[in-house]
Amino acid sequence: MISLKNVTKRYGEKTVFDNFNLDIEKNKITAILGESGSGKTTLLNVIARLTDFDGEITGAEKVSMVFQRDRLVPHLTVKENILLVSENADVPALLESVGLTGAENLYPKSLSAGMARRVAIIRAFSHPAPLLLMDEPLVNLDLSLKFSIMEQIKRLKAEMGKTVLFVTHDVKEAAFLADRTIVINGGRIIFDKKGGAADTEKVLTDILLNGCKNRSDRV
Amino acid sequence: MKTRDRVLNIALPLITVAVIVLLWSAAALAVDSEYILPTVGETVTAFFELFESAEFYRAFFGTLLRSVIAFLISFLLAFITAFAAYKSEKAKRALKPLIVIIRALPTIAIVLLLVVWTNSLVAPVIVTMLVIFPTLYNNLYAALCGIDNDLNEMCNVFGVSEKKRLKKVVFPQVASEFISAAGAGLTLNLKLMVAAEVLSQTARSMGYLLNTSKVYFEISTMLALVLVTVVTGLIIEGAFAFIAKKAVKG
Repeated sequence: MISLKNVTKRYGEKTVFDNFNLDIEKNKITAILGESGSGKTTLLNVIARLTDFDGEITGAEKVSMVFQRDRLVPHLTVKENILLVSENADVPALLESVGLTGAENLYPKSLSAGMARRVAIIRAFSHPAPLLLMDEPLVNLDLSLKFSIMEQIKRLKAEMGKTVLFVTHDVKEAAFLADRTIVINGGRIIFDKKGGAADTEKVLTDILLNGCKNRSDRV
Repeated sequence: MKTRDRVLNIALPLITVAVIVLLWSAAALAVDSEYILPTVGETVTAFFELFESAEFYRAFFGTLLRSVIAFLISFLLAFITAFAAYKSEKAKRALKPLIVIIRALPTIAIVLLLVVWTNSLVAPVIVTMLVIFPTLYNNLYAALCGIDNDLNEMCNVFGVSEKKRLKKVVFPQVASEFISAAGAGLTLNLKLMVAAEVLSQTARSMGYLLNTSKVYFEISTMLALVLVTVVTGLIIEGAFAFIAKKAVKG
């Protein structure tokens, strides 16, 4: 279990989280939804220790991450980018798993947006950390590519047995991928339900369409 | 690169050189005195005659060695201070007045003072170090500021070791700027070294040869020595630009 206990995060005068608590089950995919500025990315940054915070986090000492931007090193090839974070990775097999066979020696600038995204995803999956954080991993991708990559994420997760925590704006992504869906607003959890499939989608759409501010009940 | 660009890259510098040679030839013809302005042909002859003299080689390599020493010390100091400024805002603020003062130092006055305080061998080294230091500092600081912080964060998250990060991520990002700065710095350094040697009367130096030629009114030799300095500077800058280009893959 990964636990966040009494996590408080402030940016100057603004409090993003005040004594925030969350338990994340291992080997599951948990989706975090919320409006812009609700603290979704901050939550990932806190777990990844990319920002200072007060409180305690256990079970997340080592993490890997898919960032909003791919953050591939431009002067390293695809293979070198993966080996940079994971020395023993089987690069050809990883590339094959996402349909990028033969892309080992390409540089990031010669990759399409979808290819770069998939490289960033397998780089994160190849890392030995048990917890994988994903910050809007499918943003700015067209619909068919989005579904293809979602399938690949699901398969990689099943094969590699990672705990995945991903942030998204897209209710459909959460419904498709997540074992558990959480909606946060104003630094609080306002929706938390296991089983992210279609039955959750309607409730989530209702929450996000009608605005998080009017809703404080936990489902 | 398109063929047209390649042709222009070669043709335009050649046209510039041709215009300079034409103007020089016209001026030499008008002056009509080798003691004031020798012709291009006389200067080129003097240029090749230099390579037949052992004294020239001693002077040339003496100047080059002093330039390299001054440059290496200055580059090292500039790197240390630029890195400190990059890491700490306080260090940056503390260094600012020092950089401004060094930049404002009157070169000729400092050479003369340093000749009094040290000797004619050391004075040109210190002067050139001081003059190129602010330029190197600014270039190196700008290169360090260009490091992508997103990639640093990525390395932090994935626990990439410091050694691996410097070698694979940080150094290649700054290498190109560092090498270009080094090339430009070394060329400027050579030019300043010759000027400082002239003022310091440094033995076995290009500056000393320039002084001697002036005394004997060997204007064609003086121009040939200037040409040697220019060609050496161009070779250094070109070599560093080539290495900088090769340092950036992808």
